[in-house]
Amino acid sequence: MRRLVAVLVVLVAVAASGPTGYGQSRVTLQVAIAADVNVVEVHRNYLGVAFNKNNPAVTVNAVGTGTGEAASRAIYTKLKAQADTGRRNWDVDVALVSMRYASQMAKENLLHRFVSEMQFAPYVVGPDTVRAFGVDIKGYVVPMFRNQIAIAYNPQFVSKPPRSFAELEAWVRANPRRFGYNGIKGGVSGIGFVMGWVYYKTGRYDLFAQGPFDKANDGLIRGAIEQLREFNRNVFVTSGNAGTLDALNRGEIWMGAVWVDQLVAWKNEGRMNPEITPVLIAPGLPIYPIYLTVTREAANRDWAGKYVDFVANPQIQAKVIVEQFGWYPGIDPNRVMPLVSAAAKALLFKGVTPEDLARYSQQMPIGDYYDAILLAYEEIVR
Amino acid sequence: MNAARPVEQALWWLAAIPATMVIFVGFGLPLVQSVVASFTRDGVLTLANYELVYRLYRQDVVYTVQVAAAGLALTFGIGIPLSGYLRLHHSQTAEFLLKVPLFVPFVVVGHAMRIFLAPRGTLLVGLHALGLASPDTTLAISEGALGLSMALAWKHLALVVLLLMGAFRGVSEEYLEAARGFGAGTFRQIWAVLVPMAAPSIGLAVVLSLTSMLASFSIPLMMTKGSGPQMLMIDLYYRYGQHGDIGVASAIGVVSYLLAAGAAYYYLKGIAR
Amino acid sequence: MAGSATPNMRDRPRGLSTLVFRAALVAVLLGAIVGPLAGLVLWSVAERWHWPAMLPQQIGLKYWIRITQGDLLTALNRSVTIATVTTVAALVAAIPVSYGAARARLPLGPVLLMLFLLPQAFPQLPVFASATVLFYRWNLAGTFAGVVLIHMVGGLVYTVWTMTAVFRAIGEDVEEAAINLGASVTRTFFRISLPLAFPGVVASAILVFIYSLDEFTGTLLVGAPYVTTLPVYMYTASLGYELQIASVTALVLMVPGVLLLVLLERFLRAEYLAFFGRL
Repeated sequence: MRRLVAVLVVLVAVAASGPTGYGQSRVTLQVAIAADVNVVEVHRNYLGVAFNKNNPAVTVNAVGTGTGEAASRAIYTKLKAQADTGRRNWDVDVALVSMRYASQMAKENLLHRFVSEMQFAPYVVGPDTVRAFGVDIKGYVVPMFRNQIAIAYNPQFVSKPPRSFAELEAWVRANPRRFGYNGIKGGVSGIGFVMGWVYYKTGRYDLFAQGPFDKANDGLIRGAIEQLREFNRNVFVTSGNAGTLDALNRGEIWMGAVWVDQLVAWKNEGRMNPEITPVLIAPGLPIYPIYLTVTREAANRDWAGKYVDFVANPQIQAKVIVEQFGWYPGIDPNRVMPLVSAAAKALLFKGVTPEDLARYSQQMPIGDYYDAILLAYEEIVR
Repeated sequence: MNAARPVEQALWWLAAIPATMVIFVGFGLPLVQSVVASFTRDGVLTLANYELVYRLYRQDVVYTVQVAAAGLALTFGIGIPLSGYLRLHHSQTAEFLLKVPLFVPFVVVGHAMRIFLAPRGTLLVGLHALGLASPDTTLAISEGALGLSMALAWKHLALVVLLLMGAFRGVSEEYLEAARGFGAGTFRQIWAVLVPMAAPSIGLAVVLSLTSMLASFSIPLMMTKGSGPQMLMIDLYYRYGQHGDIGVASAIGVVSYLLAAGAAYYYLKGIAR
Repeated sequence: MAGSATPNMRDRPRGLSTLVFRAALVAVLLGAIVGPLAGLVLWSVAERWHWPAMLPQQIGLKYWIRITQGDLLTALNRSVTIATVTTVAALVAAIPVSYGAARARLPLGPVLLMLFLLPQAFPQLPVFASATVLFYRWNLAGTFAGVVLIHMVGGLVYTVWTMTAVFRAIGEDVEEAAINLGASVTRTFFRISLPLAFPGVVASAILVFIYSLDEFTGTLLVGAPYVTTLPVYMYTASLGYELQIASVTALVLMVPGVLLLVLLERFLRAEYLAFFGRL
């Protein structure tokens, strides 16, 4: 009996010691990914494997933390807790997080300002690499890719897709419950649509995206959201990003607000009617990059920076990010697009052209307005 | 039994510490902390969290109670006659079938019910195969209160039947024979004999199911919907998961404690017997 | 209603209408209980199922094969490991409490027993959310140990309560005989009481194992961001409308419970089963 107890104690101790048991002689780069399964798979099966081939001493351990903002928040909370307790050698080297939490992490000094040390630093361009949610993020982030929220439609039922929010409003009135989006609780495509709506109704994009925050503008927000409540009466509210895609695919809705990358991914997997086409409407919808960051106390900080550099390589961006997965490049498109095949370009820009992107891609609002808009939605629309 | 000596007493206490600590660290302390957090915002004592709960979620409190009540009505509306019938007319097959949901985890029930009750879900496929539905019918139950209470009832029915069968078996055959002597049929025997005599057990089963339904999380999460009223636990998860807002999340939690507290009293009293 | 049941019906051959009623009852139950689960089976083998087809256009085991590879296998392994460690830990921790409570060696024993029931009687989500905040502080969130701990919180009641009942059922006279023969109390416990309690230990081990395997709420919160068990994996898959993968996972999750039901139905006492409904 005593021997049995001893064995059990050892078992528990070994199991509880967990992942620290291996990797002493080699480097295991911990990459935490707050994104859908397809993004995790890119890091695990493509980028991680290729990086390991170039640097045999380094094994990339890519871990998904779920989807939506909750996934990014989990990484943020974990790092914050380690910072608060004054720990060194954090258990995350590279964190792939949403714009919202990347900016929060930069603000709270949880990130390492590494971009200037990168070989491809000059290609890290765009307004979304400078400021996000009203926070200075320059030097802290490299977008892995950019993702656009767009209106997808089924040409079988929609002969003339809307080109503006006003046209969409009219269409929805004429076709009740044939347009869908996922509210604000089921993923960022729905949130992005709501932000786009507020920009459209108030006409104050610059105010919301640039700040400064003023509580007096709450009335403006609430006015727009009250109109959204009316709009929603004829809308089919789905349960999530994927729910909108599923409803589109089943013909339950004819038009819906989606992530362009998910639409492409579903088509590639054969899960989506290939006819469904995205379109960007005026005055615009948010583009939302996902950021590669290096944590402040990363145990393998140098390797972490090298790994991000590797992902920012124009070749990798062209062949993996754009061609294989249908994302918009995370770095300077002028460096990437010439390396992309014509066929891949045609697929990428079907429906949403580079000109559309230039004209209609918008930034998310600064943090305080973002929260105020979500709160107003929760209270007024429900 | 000899009175335990003080040293031995102390040793038993010592040995009981690890298990007790687990409950303390993983439940007791967090419970207290959530109550404190519900009255705190940015380190200041305040009722602001409750104000927000009132502003945003008061309808959801009502909705949660409604769904739980509907689930309860379904569970017991089916469970009482069924258990009574099975008490009077034993059926091995039926009893076995009824135990199945006990062993199906909540998350699985949620997922299964979601695809079963979806607008073009497997229920419709089944009805179609039986010739009871035309191909272009759609059902819209999975996302509403009805679908949710059906799923909750499905999961809870097994436990309720098990508890009621146990209680009904405890009712002496003599009473039933007497009732039959007066010409009582199955329905009369259930209603006039079994139910009144097993009333305490039924009460316990009601309370058990009610607390569980009020605090249900995984089933509504799996059957999630984008708009309209939500179960309280879904609101809590949104506040905590998406916003990291432990204050308001805890305030919703305290509301759910209060809903459960009255019931829990009887629950503890009942199960302690 | 079943008013057709006649007095003293046990002594008589059953009437046709009774038989029909019983057959109908079983058929309805079969449909109601098995129906939703059959949907899982259908989805798990549907390689292609597009609207507006009523049945899958292509059937196969493509998604079942996923169990043997990649994320699903990782989640399965992790779930089983966590459940095993939780079970062992919950047993070891529970034995002194149960034995002490059963032999009235622990003052406040009944109060202590109530304590273990608390996590199953109270709303779990708010408490676990609050626990997660603490766990982050202690660097337990997102770790294997943290998940085992939160599983023990919910699982201890199964071991403590079951084994208290078992120890109570073992006659004290056997123990006293051993003590009178000169054995120490501790020796008596390990040589006499524990072996006698073995069936109860196994029963409670099974209960905790299944509880841990199926646990969702605590794992979702405490396990984030790194520990993904099968139920959490299933949730993510279902959220992404990967219904086939979610359905395969759901069916895998049901296997231990259904095995238990089929194999041990007769031996499982109603009290143990009653616990189960609280999963």
